[in-house]
Amino acid sequence: MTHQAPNPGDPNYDWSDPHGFHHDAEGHETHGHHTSPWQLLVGILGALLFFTALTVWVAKGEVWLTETTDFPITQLWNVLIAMSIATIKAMLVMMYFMHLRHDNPLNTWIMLFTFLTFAVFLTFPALDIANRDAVNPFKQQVAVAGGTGVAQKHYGPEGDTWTGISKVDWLREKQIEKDIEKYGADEGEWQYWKHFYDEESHYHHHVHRYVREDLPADSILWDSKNYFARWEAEGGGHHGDDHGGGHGDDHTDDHSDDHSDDHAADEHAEESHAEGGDHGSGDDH
Amino acid sequence: MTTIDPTQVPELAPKKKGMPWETYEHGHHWRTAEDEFDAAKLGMWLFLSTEVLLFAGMFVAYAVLRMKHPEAFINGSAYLDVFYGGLNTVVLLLSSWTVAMAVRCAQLNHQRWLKINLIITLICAVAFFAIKITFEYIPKLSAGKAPGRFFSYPYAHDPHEPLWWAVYYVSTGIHALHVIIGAGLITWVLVRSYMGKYGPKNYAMVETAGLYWHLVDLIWIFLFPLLYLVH
Repeated sequence: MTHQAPNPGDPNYDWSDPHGFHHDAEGHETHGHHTSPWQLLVGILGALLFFTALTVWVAKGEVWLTETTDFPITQLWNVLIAMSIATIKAMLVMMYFMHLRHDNPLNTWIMLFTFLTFAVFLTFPALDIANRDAVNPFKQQVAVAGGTGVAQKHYGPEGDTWTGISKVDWLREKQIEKDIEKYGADEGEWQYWKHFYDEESHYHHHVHRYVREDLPADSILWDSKNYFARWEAEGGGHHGDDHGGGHGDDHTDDHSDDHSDDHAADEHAEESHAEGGDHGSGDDH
Repeated sequence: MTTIDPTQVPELAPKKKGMPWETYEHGHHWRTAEDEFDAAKLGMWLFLSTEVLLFAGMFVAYAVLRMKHPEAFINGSAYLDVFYGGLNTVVLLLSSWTVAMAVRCAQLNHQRWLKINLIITLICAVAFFAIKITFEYIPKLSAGKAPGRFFSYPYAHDPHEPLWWAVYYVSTGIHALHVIIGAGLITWVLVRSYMGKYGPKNYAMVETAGLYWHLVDLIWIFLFPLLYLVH
């Protein structure tokens, strides 16, 4: 809405009213300040709720698509789709709830300039990180592997390097030590991983959802039960070869190159799971 | 010799009677009430731009750390419950709408609905904060899913998960701080609306407090998909 010049000569002019100088000659208010119709505001609320539902639904759809088809949605698209919907919602809020549509355009320009600044903040670190591994040809002769080592300084449970492992690994070792105290040396580590896969793996959605051929063997994107079976097959817990018996033989077969066959992997997982249960109950004797 | 028309000089105009919003006089250093109102809003928008830049730092931290440690962030997002995130989104959108309605009520002199809308906004603010604390912060912190060196959850997977929690707690924590400040502003506006301070001639404070509240909503609109949905 463009602003009319105030006209103090107008007898209807009211100095103390932001609407004042928009009275016309007959004294009717022409509303210099836009008052949003309530129908519009309700409509915008409805649109915002719709887009919220849409973004949740799309995110679930992407998971479903990646799970059930051979058409995985990459992270880039997750972010792009979710951020596009969020941008539409933000524009609705700013244009109608925050009245930018009917406001002094200067306020809109301030916001646009702010978002431009934000884009600059985002772009340069992204360029940096995306090109970290790039080595200019003329430097290739002298490039050495490894960084300055500064980052290593803070890599450890208490901000130091005396254990040489990450905090996550350190906490895991501590918990396994506790479990060993509780369940005994044979049983402890196995109990840890049983708890990990049975009780906590629902947090690791991506552990048990995707079964994909192109992932490295230690990726967390593995099927969790499958992963548990693999962990056992590789000698984890006391199901290792030293105990001999049927378990070891079952698990050390062609499992490592069997990932593409979901069905077989699932069967295998079920089997190993059932054995795990049996093991737990048969522990008493 | 020039004569002064008292109707054209605010200082000489007779004192008006009525509600506080009706007798409100704009500052003498402004030509008109319009100028004062526009300046107040311009100032608020400038402040909001600095707020956006404050959160921009956190969004950039999120982007950089996600690019460096994607698996920690994929897994980190899985620890969060989309239900409570979505519920809080709905609560904030609703409160944003009631604030927009409150501004409209002030413009149209619907005093009763101005107060009702502000009260609903306050209830939403409290609900948001309560959901955040009881269903998100307390269960996660008691399970050891804490930021940085306070991290003590033994069933994590990626070594950089403490970093994810740092991003999560800082961004949602500073957002929650804004919810508290916004609720304080809305309370102030509510108290003054009971004093009859706001009406068609004077609603700048309703408008600017509303703008602040909308910003809180705006930030959450981006935080919600980034933290809960992107996998």
